[in-house]
Amino acid sequence: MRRLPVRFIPVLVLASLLVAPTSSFAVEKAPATPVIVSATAEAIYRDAKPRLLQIRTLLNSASQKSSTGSGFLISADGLAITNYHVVSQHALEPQTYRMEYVSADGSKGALKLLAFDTLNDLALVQLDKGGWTYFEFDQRALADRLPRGERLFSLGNPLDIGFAVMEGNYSGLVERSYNDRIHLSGPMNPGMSGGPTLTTDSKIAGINVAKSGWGAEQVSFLVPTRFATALMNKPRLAEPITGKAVRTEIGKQLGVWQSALYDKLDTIGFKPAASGPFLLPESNAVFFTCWANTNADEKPAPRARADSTLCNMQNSLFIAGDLFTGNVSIKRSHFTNLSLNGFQFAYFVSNHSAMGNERTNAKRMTPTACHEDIALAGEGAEQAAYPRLRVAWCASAYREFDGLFNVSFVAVAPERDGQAAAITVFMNGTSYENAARFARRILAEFKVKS
Amino acid sequence: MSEPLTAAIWIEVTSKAGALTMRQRITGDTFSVGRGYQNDLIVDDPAVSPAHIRFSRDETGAWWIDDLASDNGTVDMSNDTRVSRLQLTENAALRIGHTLLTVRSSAFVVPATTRMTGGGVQTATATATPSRVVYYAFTAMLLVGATSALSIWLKQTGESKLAIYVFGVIMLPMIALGWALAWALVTRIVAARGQFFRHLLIVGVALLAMSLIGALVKYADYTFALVNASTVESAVTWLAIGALLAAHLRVVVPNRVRLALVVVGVLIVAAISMDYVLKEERQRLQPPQIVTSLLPSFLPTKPPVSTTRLFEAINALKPDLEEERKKDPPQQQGFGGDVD
Repeated sequence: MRRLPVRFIPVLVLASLLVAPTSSFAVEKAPATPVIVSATAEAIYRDAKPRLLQIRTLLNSASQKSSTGSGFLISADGLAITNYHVVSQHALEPQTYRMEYVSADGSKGALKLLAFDTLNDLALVQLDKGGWTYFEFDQRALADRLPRGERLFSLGNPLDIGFAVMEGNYSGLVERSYNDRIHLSGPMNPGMSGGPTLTTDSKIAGINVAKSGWGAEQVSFLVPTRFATALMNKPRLAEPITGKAVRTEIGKQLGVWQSALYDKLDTIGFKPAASGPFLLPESNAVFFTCWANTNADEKPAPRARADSTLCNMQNSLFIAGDLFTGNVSIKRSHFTNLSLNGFQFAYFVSNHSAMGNERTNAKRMTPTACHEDIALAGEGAEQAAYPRLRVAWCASAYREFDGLFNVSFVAVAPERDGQAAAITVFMNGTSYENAARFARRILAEFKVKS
Repeated sequence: MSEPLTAAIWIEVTSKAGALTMRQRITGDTFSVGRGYQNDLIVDDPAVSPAHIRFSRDETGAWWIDDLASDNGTVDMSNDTRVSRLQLTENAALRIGHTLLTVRSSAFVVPATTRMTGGGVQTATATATPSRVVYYAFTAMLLVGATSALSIWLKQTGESKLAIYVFGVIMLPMIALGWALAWALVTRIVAARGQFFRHLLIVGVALLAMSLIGALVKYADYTFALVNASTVESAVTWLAIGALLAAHLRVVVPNRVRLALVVVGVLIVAAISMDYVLKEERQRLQPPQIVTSLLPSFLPTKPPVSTTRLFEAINALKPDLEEERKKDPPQQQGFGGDVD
């Protein structure tokens, strides 16, 4: 695969776990991977079943489910853990959606949302009655000390067809992920979101959250249990949280999160990447995954080369079905003129660096405001080390979350010795100041090779 | 001023729309004009009285007109005043109702004969086509085609394909031809002649002016930062469209230029207001395109700003966005379909 549109992987991943009620498609298309359920699995399933929940989001007006997920009990009086994305419809639109649980014996009841953690995709819910058996957390998992390869068992209600157990192996924390996720080598299916993944002695090793899309097999993701215990122990109001308070809380969580992220990006710093006569900044942060792309192999042979590297945070925070945020991506481009005249090459570079024409989600975002100029970094004699840059900045604000913006920033160094370069940064869910600080840093590191 | 007319005269009758409808020679000593059948010349104009005006010679042989107490009067077009009696001079123009009467003597000099090709077999038309207009219109179309080809070539970053050029070169002149043809039809309905080539020349000049000004504005913005390209460009476009329409209307109704200008003015104001009202909607459907205007490095650019100045300008956008946040999101069912 030449170029994965990495930015969208997490989107598909999460979406694939939000159960679509019409699940027959997924069933038919699913590869026939035989899942061998061992004797251990049988015992675990029998043991876990009374502590498992299916969590449904119902459309108030129709009393019909619009999505389903899973959850599990963590106290006798009816506290349960699930994914934030399982309860997000109710959390954001309580007038339109309500929640109910269905336990293994078929009993149903109402749920209240007590607390949530959007960054780790977790929610704490309260059942309408007590007297439950519940799960305990595995101590080794809490300390991230599970050995790689250890057998684990994922439980939940896939595709709304009944509770099931699936066997997999612990494969450590996902590398190059800013938010910690456990990599589970094992199957996972829509509807299992929020369910537990257990050790052989039926302790919680992680919380089901996502699986990889794009044709990958048996690559699933779990939220580490320490975030669940942190959520349980966090002080909270006695009242359930809904509507406006949910938005305020999401804004607060994102605000704190992005502050730490941009501080970290700034501290980690950049190294110069040569791009013809230019030096483009490349982040030293390990949580970026980079993919290179070129037009060199196009037919007919291109008259100018465009080589680019897109570095992407393997991270996209689910807020609502149509709103993901928190991603930072940086695209470095190098253009080489082969046989174009000056006007044509300038047009080629403009075309490859143009931005601002993406449609924004008008319900969630304000219209985009842009500023474009020609800038030169440095003071006095230092200016010789910098190219004149065509710079553009476009920003739109989140309507629901105070002080958060989506920003795209591009700096283009026009032709010099038949070559041009550009750097484009997309910053989602950032404060205006942090985005400006990051962009300024990029300009300070975008130099001419001496 | 010309000398008083004494010889036999001709009257040319021109309709409200500017079409010459009739010529009448006056041989006697008196001659009456009006809507009624007792007149020597009947004018079918509802604003003309049944007995409107009388032409007569005095004892010296000079021609006079008398307004026969008509309802709407007789206007001397030389000074735009109502007259009841007036001595006629060569080429005097009078307006009765909506109709124009022009007085010619037999000494009136007609233009030189148009040379016919093909040995003069065809019958000469009374209204010979002014060949210079044809020539200019043809040149304008060639230039429009050449401009299209040039702009395609400057943006040609892939393989050159003849088809792209042929299509690009023919496209705009074809649209111009269609446009001119439509105007010629309108002119033919209102007046006697279609004036196709005059309309073609007008649209050709307008297209050339628009592309030239567009290029100048882009360059001025890039090099001197003198103008805000998008604002100036939209203003210039509206002005050019206004001028284009006014020029066409001038050909269609040459006697109503002021009215035509008012109509064009109202249309343009309406269009600009509509443009303003729909701005937000348009912005939602099609956010601004950025960094589309790079030019070759050998062209000078405006002086660069420092990063401090740049980020001052960037920070100045923030209050607008904060303000925008407080507003309700636009309706999801706008025209142009759903958003997500």
